[in-house]
Amino acid sequence: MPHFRACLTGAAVLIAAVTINVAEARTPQDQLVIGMNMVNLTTLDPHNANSYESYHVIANLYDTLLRSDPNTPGKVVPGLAKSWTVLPDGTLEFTLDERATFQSGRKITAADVAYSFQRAVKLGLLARAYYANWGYDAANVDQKFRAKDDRTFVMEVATPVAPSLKLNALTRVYGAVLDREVIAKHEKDGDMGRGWLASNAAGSGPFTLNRWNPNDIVVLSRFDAYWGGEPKMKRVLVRHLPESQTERLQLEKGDLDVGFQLVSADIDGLAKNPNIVIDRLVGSGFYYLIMSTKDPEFAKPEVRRALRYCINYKDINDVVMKNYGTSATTFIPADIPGYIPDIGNVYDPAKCKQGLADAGYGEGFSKQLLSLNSTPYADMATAIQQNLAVAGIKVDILTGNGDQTYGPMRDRKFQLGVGRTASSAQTDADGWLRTHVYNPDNKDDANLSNLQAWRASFELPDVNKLMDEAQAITDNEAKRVELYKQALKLFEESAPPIIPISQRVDPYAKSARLKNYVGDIGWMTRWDRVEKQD
Amino acid sequence: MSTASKGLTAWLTTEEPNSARHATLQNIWRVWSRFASNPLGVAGLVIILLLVFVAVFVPWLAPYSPFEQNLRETLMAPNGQHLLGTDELGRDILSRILWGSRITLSIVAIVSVIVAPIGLIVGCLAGYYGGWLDTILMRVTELFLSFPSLILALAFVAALGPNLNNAIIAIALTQWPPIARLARAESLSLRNRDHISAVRLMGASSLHIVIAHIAPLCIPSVIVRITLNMAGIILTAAGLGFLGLGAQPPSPEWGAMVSTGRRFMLDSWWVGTMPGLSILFVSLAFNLVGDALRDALDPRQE
Amino acid sequence: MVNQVETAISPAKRRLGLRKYSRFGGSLASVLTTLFLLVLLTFIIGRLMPIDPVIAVVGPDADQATYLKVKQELGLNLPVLQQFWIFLKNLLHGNFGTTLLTGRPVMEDIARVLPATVELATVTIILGAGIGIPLGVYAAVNRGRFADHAVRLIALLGHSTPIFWIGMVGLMLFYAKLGWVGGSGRLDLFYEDIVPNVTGFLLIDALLAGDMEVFWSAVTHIVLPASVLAYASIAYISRITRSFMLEQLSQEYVITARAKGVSRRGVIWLHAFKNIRVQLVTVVALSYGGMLEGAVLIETVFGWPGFGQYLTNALVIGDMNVVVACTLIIGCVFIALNVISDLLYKFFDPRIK
Repeated sequence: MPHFRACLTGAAVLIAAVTINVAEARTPQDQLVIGMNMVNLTTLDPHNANSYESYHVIANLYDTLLRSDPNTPGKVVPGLAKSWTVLPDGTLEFTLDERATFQSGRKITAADVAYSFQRAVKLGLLARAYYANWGYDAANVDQKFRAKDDRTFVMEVATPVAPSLKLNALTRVYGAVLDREVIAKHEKDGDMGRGWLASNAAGSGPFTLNRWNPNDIVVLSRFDAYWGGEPKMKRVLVRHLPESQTERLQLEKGDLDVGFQLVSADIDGLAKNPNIVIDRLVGSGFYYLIMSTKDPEFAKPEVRRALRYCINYKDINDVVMKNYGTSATTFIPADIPGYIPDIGNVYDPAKCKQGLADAGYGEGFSKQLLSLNSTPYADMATAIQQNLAVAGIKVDILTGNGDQTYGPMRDRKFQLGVGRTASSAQTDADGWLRTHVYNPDNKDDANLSNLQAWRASFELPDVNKLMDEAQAITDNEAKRVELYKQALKLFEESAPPIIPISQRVDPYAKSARLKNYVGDIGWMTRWDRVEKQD
Repeated sequence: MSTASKGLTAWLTTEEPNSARHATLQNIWRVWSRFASNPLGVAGLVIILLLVFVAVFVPWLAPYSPFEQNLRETLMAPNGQHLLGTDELGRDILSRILWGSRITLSIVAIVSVIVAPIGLIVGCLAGYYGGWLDTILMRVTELFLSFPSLILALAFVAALGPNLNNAIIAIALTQWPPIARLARAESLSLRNRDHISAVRLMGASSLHIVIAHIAPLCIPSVIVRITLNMAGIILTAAGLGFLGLGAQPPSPEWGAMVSTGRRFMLDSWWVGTMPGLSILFVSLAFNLVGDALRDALDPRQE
Repeated sequence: MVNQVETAISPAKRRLGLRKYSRFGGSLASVLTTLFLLVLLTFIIGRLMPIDPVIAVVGPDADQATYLKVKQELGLNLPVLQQFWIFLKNLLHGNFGTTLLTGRPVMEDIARVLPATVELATVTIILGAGIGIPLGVYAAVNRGRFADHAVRLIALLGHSTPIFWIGMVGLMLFYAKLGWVGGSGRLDLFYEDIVPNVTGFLLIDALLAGDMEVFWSAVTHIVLPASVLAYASIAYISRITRSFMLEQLSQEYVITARAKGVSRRGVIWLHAFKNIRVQLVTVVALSYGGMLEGAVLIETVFGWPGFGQYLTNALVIGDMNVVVACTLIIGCVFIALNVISDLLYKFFDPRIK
C-alpha cells in the first residue's frame, strides 16, 4: 500500500514540522498583554459599566474628574480637576487642569464635565443610582451641575451629603468626563450617544480604542498626545481567557503579562513561580449567605440566630475562599472607620443545634439554596450545605447563571442564597453599609432590588434612620462614623438574615518584568505608566 | 447439565423449527453465537454488565460517600486511602465515579424508554397511513434531523433550564427522529405484506393494525438502532455536563466532574482525567457492543 | 456527535433506498417549509429561555429603575406574538437583531466569528479525509486481518472519546508539558491585530501579508484543536470508506478485472475507489457540517474565538437573538449541505440517472 504509506509519511512530516521547537514566547517590550474573562465586559459606556473588567478598560480610555492614589487607598488626588474647594453650603467647585485635552484634540471645558454628569443621571442607567443617592435626578441636574466658567465646574447640593463621599465617588468610573462634541456626531434619536458609546470611546485617556470584539479581544493603542505624558506602552491587548488554567499556562510561558480572575489553585501555583508576582486588590463586597425572612422558618429570629452558629467560617475561608476572600465577620471591615471588633458571626455547632432545638426545630427542615454555578460560589454552597446538614437542615443546591441565581433573589422568591456584593472600592462606612443593611421601604413593589436587606425582606426602621442621619452630616466626621457604628450594632443584634462570610479579594498575577503596574482598589488601574524591564 | 445444554444447543440449531417461537429463539441464538465470536463485542458487553453491577451495588462498593467533603484533604493524589485521589472539596473520586455510574446508566435507560415509543409511533403512523400525515410527521422529523444533536440539545436545555432532568428530555428530543425514520421505513415495507392485508380484510381498524401488528414487528430493529445510539447519548450527556448545562454540582455526573477537573488539570491531573476515562470506557463498551451487534445481525457486512 | 452524521447517511439507509433529503433536490417548496419550521422552532426556543437577559446587561446589583428601563429598551415587555412578528419582519430583511448584551448587530458578530470556525473546520476536514479515507481503504483491503481490526478499534475509540476531554489532556501534554504547540486562541497574543484582516482566515491573511512569524504562530495554534477534532472525523470517515470499499470489492467487475490481469493496486484505486468517490464526497460534506458541533466543545476548551464559543456564551447568558440566529444558521447549513450532496449524488451517480 504505497499510497497509504505515503499519506502516513506526509502526515508525520507535517506534524513533525509543526511541533519542532515552537519558540518560547515572550511578550514584546512595548506591548502590555492582559488576560481576563470578558463575559462581564458588556459595554464601554462609562455610565453603564457594571463590572471589574469594564472598569479596567474604561479607566484607560477616559479620565475622571478626580483620581484616587493607588498607593494610598482612600486618598483623593487631582485628575482632570487640578484643585477643588468645598464651599460652606457643601457646594463643590472644581478647577480644571488647563493642559487637559480630549483625544479629539479639543480642550476639556467645564461644560464637558457638566454634560457628562448630567448624562450620567439623564440616561437612567447604572450611573443614575449613584447620583440618586445624593438627591440628583433628571429634573434638577441641569441646575445643580454647572459650568461657572470655562475652567470651573460647580456641583451644587441637592440633599445634604458628606462632601468626602462625593469626592471619593468622583474618582470612580461614573466620574468619567466625555467628549460631548464627538458624542453629538453619533447621537441617534436623542440617545446621548448611548448606542455608539457602548462600543466606542470619546474620552481623554492615555489609550485609544482600536478594536473590541466581545468575548474575544480589546486592542488599545497609545494616545501619543496624552496630556498627562506619553504612555510607555505602544499597545495594550486584553484577551478573553475564560479558562484560568490557560491563563496560568500563558503567564508561565511569558505569553501574558497580567492575568485576572485566576482560580485559587492557579494563584497558589503561580505564587511559586519566581517570574510571577501575585497582587491582591481588596474588594468592597462580601461573599454572603442570605435568607429570605418571607420563609416561615427564617422569619423566626431564633432560627436565624442559630443558623449563624452552624457555619464553619474558618474552614470555608481557609479552603474554599482561599485567594477569593478574607474572613469577614460583619459588614464594616477592619480598615474602615466604623469597624467594630468582636461582633458578628462565630462558629459554634453546639449553640447551633441548641438554638434550633430551642426554636422548635430539633428535627431540622429542608430548604433550597441558590448559587452561581461557578467557583467559588458552588463550592461555598456545598460547604454550607454540609455544615447545615450536621444541624439537621437539609439543603438542596440549585445552581445556575447570574440570572437564575440573582433573579429570584431580586424578586424575593427564594429561601437561601449565596452571592457576592460587588462594587468598586468603598472607603467609607456608608457605602459598605448601604448595600447590606439599609432598606427604607420593605414593600414588594418598592423594588429596591439592589439592596440586600430588601431582598431578604428585612427592615429595621431604626437602622434606616441612623443611616439617613449619618449621611446628612456634613461637618462632623467623628459623629458620622459613630452613627454608622450604632447602625451596624443594631443590625447585628437583630439576628439579621444576611451573613457575611468573606470579604471579596481580587487577586491577579503579573509578570515580574512589569514596573509601575499598580492595581487600584477602585478598579481604575491605569496602564500608561507601566514599563517592562529585562 | 452438559447433556441438557447439549440438547438445548441442538434444539436451537436444528434445521427444522417446530413453531414460530422456536424459530424466533433460533434466530436469537444465531445472532448471539455470531456476537459471541466477536471478542471486542464480548469485551464491551462485559464492561456494560460490570457497569450495571456497580450501579446496582454501589452503596456497598463505594468506599466513601460521594458528597461528603473533607476540606482538610483536598486535591490528594491517588493513594492507598483514596485510590483515585480526592477532588477540590476532599471528596473521594473513586466513590464519586462509582456513584456516577448510576447517573450515566439512568440517562441511557430513560432516554431509550422515552425515545423508543415516540419514534415507533410517529414512524409507524407515518409509514402506514402515508399521505398528508406522513408529510407532516416526516417534515417535523427532518427538521429535528437538520441539527447536530448536541446543538439541538443545547438549545433545548437553554430553553428549559439547565439540570439533569431537562438534559435528559433534551437528549430524548434529539434522539427520536432517527428511530421514527427507521420505523417508517419498516412499516412502509410491512404494510402491504400478506398477513397485514389479511388482518385488514378481517375488518380491523387501522389504529389497531398499527399498534398490534406493525409496531411489534418494528421493535427489533428499533432496539438495535437504540443500542447503536447509546454511546452517542452518553457523550452528549457528558458534553452538556461539561458545558455546565447538564447535571449540576454536587451531582457526581462524569461530564460535570471533567468540567470541574479542568480547573485543576495542571497540578491535579487526576481530578479531570479519571471521570474522563470512565466516560471513554463506557461509551467504548457501548460502541463495541453496538458494532458487534450490527455485524451479528447483518452478516453481509463481514 | 458523530452519531448524527452517521444517521444522515448510514449504510442501512442507503440499502433501504431512503436518502435523507431525496425530495429536497426536486422541491424548493419543501425546503422552504422546513426553513419556516426551523425559524418557528428557534424562535420558540429563544422565547422559552427562562434566563432573564436584563440581569446580564445591568449586573446583579442594579436598582429596579435601571432594570425596567433596559428591559423595555430590549423590547422584552411586548407580548410574545408581537415579538415574533417583529422577529420575522426583521428576519425577512436579513436582520437578526442585535445582541442583547452589547447591542451590536448579530449578523456583524457572526460574520466576524465564523471565519475562525470555518478555518478550523477546513484544516480538520483535510486531516480527517486525508487520513480517514486511506485508512478505510487499507482496512477494507485487509479485511478480517489484524490491520482491519486495528483500524476498527481506532475508529471505535474515536467514536467513544469525549472530545472535550481529549482536548484538555492534549493541551496539557503538548502545550503545557512538552511545549510543542501553541496554547489557547488562534495566535500568540501579541501577534493579534498585526496582519490586516482580508479573508478572516488567519493562515491565508498571514501569507497574503507575507508575515511568516504570524503564519507560524497560527499554524502552531491550529494544529492541536484541528487534530483533536479530526480524530472523530477520521473515525467516522474511515469506517464509512471501509464499508463502501467492501461493497465494491465484492462486486462482479472487481473479480472480472482481477481475472483479466489488472494489478491488485489497479483494481483498488482505478476501479473500486473510483466508484465510491461520489459517495465519499457526500460523506465528507456532511462531516464538515458535523464539525460545527464538535466546535462548540473544542472552542470552549481551546479558547478559539469562533462560532461555537459565541453560541455557548450566548446560551449561558440567555442572549436569545444570538441563540436563535446561530441555531438557524446551523440548521440552514445542514439543510444546504444535504441538498448539495443530494444534487452532487444525482449529478454524478450513473445508477441514479
